[in-house]
Amino acid sequence: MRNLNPSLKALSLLLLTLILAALRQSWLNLGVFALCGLLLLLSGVRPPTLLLAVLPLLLLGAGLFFSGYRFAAESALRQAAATTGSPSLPFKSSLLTQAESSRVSNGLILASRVFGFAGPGLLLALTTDRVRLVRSLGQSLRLPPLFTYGLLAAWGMFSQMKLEYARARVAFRARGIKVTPLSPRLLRPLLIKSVRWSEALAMAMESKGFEGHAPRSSWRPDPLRLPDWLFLGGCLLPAIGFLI
Amino acid sequence: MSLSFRQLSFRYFPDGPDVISQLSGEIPDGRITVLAGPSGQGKSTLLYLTAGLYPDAAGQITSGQVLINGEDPAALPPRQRCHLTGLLFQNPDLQFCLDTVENELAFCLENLALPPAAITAAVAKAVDFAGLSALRQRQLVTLSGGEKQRVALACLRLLQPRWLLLDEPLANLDAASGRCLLQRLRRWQQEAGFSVLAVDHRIENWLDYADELCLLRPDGSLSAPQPFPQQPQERQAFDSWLQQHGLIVPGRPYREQADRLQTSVPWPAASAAVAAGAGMPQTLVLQDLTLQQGSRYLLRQVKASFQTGKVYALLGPSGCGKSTLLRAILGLNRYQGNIWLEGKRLKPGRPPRPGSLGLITQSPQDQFVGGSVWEEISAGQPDSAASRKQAETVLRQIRLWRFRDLSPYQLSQGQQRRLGVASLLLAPCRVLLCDEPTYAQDLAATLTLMAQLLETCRKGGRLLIFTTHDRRLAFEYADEVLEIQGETLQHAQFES
Repeated sequence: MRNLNPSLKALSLLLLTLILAALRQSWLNLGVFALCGLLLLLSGVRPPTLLLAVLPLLLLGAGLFFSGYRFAAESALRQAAATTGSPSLPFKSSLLTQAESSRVSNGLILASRVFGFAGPGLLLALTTDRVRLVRSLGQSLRLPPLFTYGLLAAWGMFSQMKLEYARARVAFRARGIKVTPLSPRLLRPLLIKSVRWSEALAMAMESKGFEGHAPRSSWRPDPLRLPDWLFLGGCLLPAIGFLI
Repeated sequence: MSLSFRQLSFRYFPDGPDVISQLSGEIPDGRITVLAGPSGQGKSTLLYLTAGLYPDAAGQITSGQVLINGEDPAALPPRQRCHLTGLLFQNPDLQFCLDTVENELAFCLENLALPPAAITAAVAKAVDFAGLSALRQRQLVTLSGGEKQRVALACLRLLQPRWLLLDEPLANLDAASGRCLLQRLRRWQQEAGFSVLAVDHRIENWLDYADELCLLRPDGSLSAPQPFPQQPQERQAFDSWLQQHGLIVPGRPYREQADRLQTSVPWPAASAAVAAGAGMPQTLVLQDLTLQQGSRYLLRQVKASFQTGKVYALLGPSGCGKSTLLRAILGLNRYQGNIWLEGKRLKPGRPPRPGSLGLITQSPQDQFVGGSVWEEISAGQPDSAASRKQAETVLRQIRLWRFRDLSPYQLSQGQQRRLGVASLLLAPCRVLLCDEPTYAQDLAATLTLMAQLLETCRKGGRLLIFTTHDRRLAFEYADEVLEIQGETLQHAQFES
């Protein structure tokens, strides 16, 4: 997975999630998640890391299951009442059985979608180097360097923000000023800093010969190879299967 | 290919004052020239103009021009300009776009559309030149300030500009690393014959490496180049010239230089009780402290205690963990062992209570809390006439009164440093931690800052710990000088 072209991998996984969104198949969602988990383990992702990422999914999935379960039951009952007017007992019992089945199915679909969407997301996030991805966006998708390197610089700044936030809190504490975690006074220096950083970074990049729209070379080219196309095909399989 | 300024005037804001006014002069070609002068005089701005980044990125030229061999660098597209001028920025944190050392180096050559094989070969040479072999795969955010400057210099090596512009290149380096870097730079300059213009307050760094010294005078004019002494007998005349222009004279005690300045700077001495350490509480105690950066140990099982009213200097080579130790005390870095502050144990990675610890950071922007210089100096102070008067007095002392309505971020690096120090001096904290307080300061500002710090510590009964690469400064101002060496913290020896 780590050797695949990052752009096509991202595109393939995006298509896969769109297909899953269009199909209401809980077994398919769970199957995709299981396959993604397997690929992650085969790509060298440590099981504890994976488990840590799955834990919030379990909570979210459970929540969505019960939402779907409740919503489906009410809808089935309304439908039953509308169809029969004043139903006799055996007929009502049969409708309730159908409603029970429908609400379980609806809950499962909603819950499994969380896993179906998260699986490809985790696969992309945990097996892709961000610099390679950005470089590949320029090489394979022909996005302008201004966009791709701007994205990379912003990404770098974002990862610094946590440290800067902690520094800003220390600065306020040093002056004996108490601030709440989301106080505008605390966020203002961060905002100013991010603007100034972007200006300084733009100048630094320009001083190194960077031009937003000029052609540039790639130190480590990431060409599209057969495995990349096979992976794309694999991601499209659910849609092909559904059409057949 | 000489560099000339013709009646150059530049301002940052249309209705603001000229930062550079009617500047004319020429910097000789093919030599290493150091540009010195008072902090806030526009030296960095001049470098940015020479690099062709201004006025496109900020400000406006109201008259005149900068010419390199008759060509205006700002008129060239970046890809051509980077062969003419290359700038090493003052703040090492704001000059990298990519994540690792080698990716950043490759980025420079990708911009020039070089083939991958040529990039690999050139990157290897640049890594050797800057002594970065061990850091090649390292994330840039994990490097020390000095290491980042070496990466930036390696980038310039790759771009091979005709004019190398260095903005305080050694401010984050210890003496040994600085010498090592300058030796490489000198050798490279002699081989390639390019020109160097370096802004630096510390002339002693350049004694064996630079050819000429130019001074940006307080009236905004540029002095004629003064040759660096080549023979020992020329040194006395050179020192006299430095002294006459208020620059730091190499190898001379600060106390002596303070005495010679026209503006007298106080030198608060420690009381006999403080000097003897008698009866003073142990405000800060490090107990079996172990600090790591990734898998690398910076400090291992360190024990130390610091007393109220005393000044401690912390020395050590670049990247040894001086700043990391201060950050650990502030709760910004995790550690093993215990840190006790005024009898209470701090929790690793958790900041202490507000008002107990103050930090003057290496980059002053990290400590700003106000929207203007005035707000910054008066933040955390009671809203009273006495406080306002005190804030005004401090701003006048540090020569920032006229900038009181500007944003702190609009000040020069030197002015920001003065503001940062002064703001913390008014704050109520009992322990002051200062990371390179005299970074990028001229002589007058260095003496004033240190005098302020000492006075606050002595009179206010505070504990002051400052890091520095300047051994002379450490031994002259601190009551105790500690040094990080081989993962331990020990008392330092003065080796001038």
